Amino acid sequence: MPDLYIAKEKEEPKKITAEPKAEDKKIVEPPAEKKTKKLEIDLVETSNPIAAFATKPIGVRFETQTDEEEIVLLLRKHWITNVPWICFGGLMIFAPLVLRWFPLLNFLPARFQLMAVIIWYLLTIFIIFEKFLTWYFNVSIITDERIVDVDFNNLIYKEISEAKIDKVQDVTYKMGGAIRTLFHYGDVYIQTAGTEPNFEFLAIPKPEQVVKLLNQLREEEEREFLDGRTR
Amino acid sequence: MINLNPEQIIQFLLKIQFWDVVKALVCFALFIYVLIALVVVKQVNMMAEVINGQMNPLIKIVAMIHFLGAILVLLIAIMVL
Repeated sequence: MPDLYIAKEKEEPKKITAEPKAEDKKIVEPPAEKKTKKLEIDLVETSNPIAAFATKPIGVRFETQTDEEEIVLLLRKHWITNVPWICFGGLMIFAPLVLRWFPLLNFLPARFQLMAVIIWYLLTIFIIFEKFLTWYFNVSIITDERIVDVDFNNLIYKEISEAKIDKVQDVTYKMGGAIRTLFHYGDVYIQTAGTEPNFEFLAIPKPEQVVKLLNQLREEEEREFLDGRTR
Repeated sequence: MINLNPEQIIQFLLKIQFWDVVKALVCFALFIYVLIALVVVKQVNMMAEVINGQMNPLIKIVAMIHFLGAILVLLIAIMVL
């Protein structure tokens, strides 16, 4: 038995590295793609600026719209609801012609008769323009995130209400009467949770499609919530 | 300052004709209308900020033409009546 001392081989010192353990490694997710909702309803871009039912309207934005928010549907009252004031405006335009056969203003001096006709046409333009503005700017907007209702009751009063899609609890629509059935328009009522305002989209075209779209957006929102993809 | 005695004031009032009063009322009404037309211009601009659509430039032009038209009618009324 050899009586020799053999030194143990030096163990190499453990290298201290800054590398974290596998379990400590954070999983780096790839950058999230811009969220786009897949809807069953085929939404075609609408370029008509005075459409009452405009899916994905081109060149339209609203005041509180965020950069990543997309307008899915823009609604106005059905065009047939404009017929009464268009007829009234037409009558007002042609009304001074009646003076040829019925000289109602003859009691006035000639210069006052001229001014009466000019003022009449000024008022006609005002009434027609005001009615058009009320129709054009009273819109209901459905985006991929929320519902926005813009109401201009007259030229000096506006009301803008909005609610997130996930706050929508119940959506119903009503379509009754001969004219509404004939021209296919009706009212959509949207109930929301909590203190959020309820919405009424009145006399809008294709109400059943609006309800269908809102239900799909709600389902998609729920799916996103479960997947943790909410914004 | 013009000092009128009561007799002169009565003479002045008697000279005012019915149609002059009507002219003054019409001009006043048209002046109010010009202010309303100005409110419409402001309101259209505000509406256009809320909803920014393709028709907005055209609507703004119409509102401005309406306002200028109201001023023109007021001037015509002052001159013609």
